[in-house]
Amino acid sequence: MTFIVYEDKLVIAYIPEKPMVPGHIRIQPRKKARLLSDLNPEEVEHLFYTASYSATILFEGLQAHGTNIILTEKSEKEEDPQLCIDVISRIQEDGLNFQWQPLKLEPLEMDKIADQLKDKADYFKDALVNNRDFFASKGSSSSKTITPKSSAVIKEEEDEEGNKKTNYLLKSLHRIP
Amino acid sequence: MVTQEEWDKMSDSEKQEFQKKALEEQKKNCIFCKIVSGEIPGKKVFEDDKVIAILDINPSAKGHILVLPKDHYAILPLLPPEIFKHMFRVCQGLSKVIDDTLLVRSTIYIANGAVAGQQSPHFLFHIVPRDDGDKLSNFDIKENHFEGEEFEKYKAIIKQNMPLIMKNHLQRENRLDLLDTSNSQEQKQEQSVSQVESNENPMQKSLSNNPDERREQLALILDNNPQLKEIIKNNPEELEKAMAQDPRIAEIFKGVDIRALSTNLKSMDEDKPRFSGESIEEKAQKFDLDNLPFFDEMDSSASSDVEFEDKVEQNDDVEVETENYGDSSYEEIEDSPLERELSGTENDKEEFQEEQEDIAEENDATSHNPPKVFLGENPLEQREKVFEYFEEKPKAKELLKNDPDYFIELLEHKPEVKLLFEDVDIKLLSKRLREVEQK
Repeated sequence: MTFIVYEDKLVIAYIPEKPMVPGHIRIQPRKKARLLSDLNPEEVEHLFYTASYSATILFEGLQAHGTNIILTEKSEKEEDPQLCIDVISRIQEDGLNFQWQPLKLEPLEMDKIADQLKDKADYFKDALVNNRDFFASKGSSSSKTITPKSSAVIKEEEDEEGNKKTNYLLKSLHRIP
Repeated sequence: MVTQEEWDKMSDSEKQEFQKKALEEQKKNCIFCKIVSGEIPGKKVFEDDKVIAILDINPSAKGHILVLPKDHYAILPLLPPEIFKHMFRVCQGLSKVIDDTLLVRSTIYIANGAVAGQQSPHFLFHIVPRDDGDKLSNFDIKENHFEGEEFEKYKAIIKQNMPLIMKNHLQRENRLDLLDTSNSQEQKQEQSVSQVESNENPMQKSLSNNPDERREQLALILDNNPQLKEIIKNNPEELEKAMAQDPRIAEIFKGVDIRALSTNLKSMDEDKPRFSGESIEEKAQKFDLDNLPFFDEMDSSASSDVEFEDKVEQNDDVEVETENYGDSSYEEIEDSPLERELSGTENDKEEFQEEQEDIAEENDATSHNPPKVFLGENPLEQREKVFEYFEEKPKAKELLKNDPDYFIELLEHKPEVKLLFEDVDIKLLSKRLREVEQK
């Protein structure tokens, strides 16, 4: 049984049946969504606002020393691929650790990935400045079809890196007028 | 840096000054502020006037992005609304960029506070590319089982405050329509708001220039903060001062005739006292920090009420003895120990409360809220300090008793003493002291 603490037209916030810590609030958009891009910007904003105010309540009401807010976009393979955001209350020496082992990447590799991301991010920025819908663009529909493909690619293994690269190149080919 | 010893020796004003300097120092040394200014190079992925996104130099995965506001803020709840909104618009866009470029989904990871793993005092969030079967199980939300009193208490606190804080937010955003799917608690609130409106017809005059939501908001705020209401009622000058100091409070009361509101509230109280109908526990759980950081009433109001009763009981004997003095003059009060004054003020309070209760016989008297002399976080401790100070300086006490306005003025020149009287309702205290003397 979930314990609902807040709901409105866009989101529903509750304390999970099996919380990670006693101060744990989970927020879910009402709209069916697997990725952030399945929501519109207002819905994303409201989702994160609800998370931020949840954090405030954990700080002020439960005297948390810190809070973590974590949202992981869902894989299609998951049983219930509904997007949710978890707000976790933290105290000194609670034994939790969300920290990762840093990956060692060659400077060249870093440059390459930065360029790739920047290339696409420029399109996003352009859409943002000119108030165009970045999410309804070609990419959005393709994301749903391509993402499973990419996981299939990984399943088949072999040349994961190469495949991605060609995909990326293919994409940039599409962009040339 | 200072040692613990040096820190302990500092006066409170020095500490404040030191913390202010430390924050400036922090900004000066902030590595991310330097990246924003270009002093330190970073691999920029996105940049505009408010936000910058760079690659993390200690990535958890290939394409791990950090998104940070250009201005220095410590944690997420401190971001101003326009930055907040913009950041998450960018967040959504960049997660899509990762989807389109790397063909994977992502994790958004935020740490507020060093305990939560925040490594820099400059707020930022992470966008981590994720794929099925990657080894980033550190971001998994693990399941546990909790039960017991404390957990139930936590749940109650969250359930109590979440709708309040969200309603305040939606009010500011002008999106109250989102609450249409309301639960019973919400409806209750709505009801009390309309009640206030119907009761406060005279108020319409002073607020007629403002949209309806403003009045509703104000009524709700007053309803949620009986203590604040008392202050407006008894001490409008205090609020005006607070408004001058805190722009957020000023914002709430902008265009409101405080004096008129004060008299309205007073007359309302005489006509027909209103009660929120909450138990003390509920009140203790309720707080409205978001709107009123200045008057935090959390646990203090409840605990001090309880404490009053206890002390009065304990001091019953003392009371009998001192009553033998008959018309006790000021000197006698000076001679008698601290407890005399303590029991005096508290007893007055008790009496005051009783008076109020008499007026309000028909209604549930237990939920009544008498005006508080001490408004701070730890009223009992503060009270003791204040009385210690009075024992040391009887002249100051005399002054406070006879000329509270001048005393308040003097406080402005003595920050250390002012700190001692922080949140103390000086006029009310003065009145109480005079009452004690008259006995």
